Amino acid sequence: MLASKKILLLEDDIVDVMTVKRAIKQLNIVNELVVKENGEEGLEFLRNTAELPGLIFLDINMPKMNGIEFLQELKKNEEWLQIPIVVLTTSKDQQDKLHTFKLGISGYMIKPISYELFKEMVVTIKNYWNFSEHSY
Amino acid sequence: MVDILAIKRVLKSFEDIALFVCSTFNDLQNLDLSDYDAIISDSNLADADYIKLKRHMGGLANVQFVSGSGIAGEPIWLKPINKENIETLFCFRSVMDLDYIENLAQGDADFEIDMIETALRILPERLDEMKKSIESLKDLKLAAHRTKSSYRVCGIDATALNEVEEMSEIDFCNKVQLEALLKSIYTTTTKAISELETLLLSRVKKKN
Repeated sequence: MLASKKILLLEDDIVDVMTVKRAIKQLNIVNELVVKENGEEGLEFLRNTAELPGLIFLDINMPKMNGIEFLQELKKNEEWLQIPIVVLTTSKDQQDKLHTFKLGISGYMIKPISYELFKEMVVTIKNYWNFSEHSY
Repeated sequence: MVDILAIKRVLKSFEDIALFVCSTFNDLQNLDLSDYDAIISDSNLADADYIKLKRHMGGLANVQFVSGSGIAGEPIWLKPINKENIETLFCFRSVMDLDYIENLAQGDADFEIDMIETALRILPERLDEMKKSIESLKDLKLAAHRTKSSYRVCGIDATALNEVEEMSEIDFCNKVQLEALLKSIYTTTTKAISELETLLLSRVKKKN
């Protein structure tokens, strides 16, 4: 993943934000992490940023605009659709999982985050990024 | 006498517990039971049977009856009493498991302290939120959900929170069951806050 690309984390819970920050630090990921507390703030960031983030970590259960609503909005913009999105959620519901995959996510992780799984997920996305860098 | 010796042996593992022995119901009646943090009573004394003893002490918190054979349908411990029994009675057993935080921290004391401080700040807020949300199932569901992340990182069993979340989705849920779950969550959260305070002090002391 290009170091200049930001990672966007949409998460309203401070404890979960700290956990993801820590995981990213442990994995020596140097990309800047931008944290927004809900889908509305996330969309606002995407509309106004000069460069789209290279990866979005998305919580589902958030106030104002939840993760599902955020994904539905994202689908309306072709450029945003190219950003890999990993859902971080407590929901083990298969319907939630299926629903979010249908909305175009790249990964689904159940909290608490397993660091091995988190690492593999990030590496896979990084490889995808390097592969598709020219078209991105 | 054998039973008393057995209990004394188990209590040797607990520095802070002082044992007072009362052998008859007659003596028991002369005691102010509120002076005692916990009461362990044989289900049969020479001058009183289980029914009589239960009538006298059954309504008190932290009373535990013990018996050699048990009584069907009654929450009686079987002898001999072990260390785990005493821990349960005095709630010495930690409600937390810090493996997750420690695994995250990888020896980074500052991070551990930061995480403990955050949990200490969040948990009372969440507790307050749940208490205020009792009249609205929708708010209660949200408050229970929001509490789970702190429970998760502190390794606290979140079964009761999950159940509250599920029950909050039912319009005509069993209020008595819901209140019992909330009471258990309040107790666990309060105990976790107290444990975190102690933990924070020891971590800061260790770091310095």
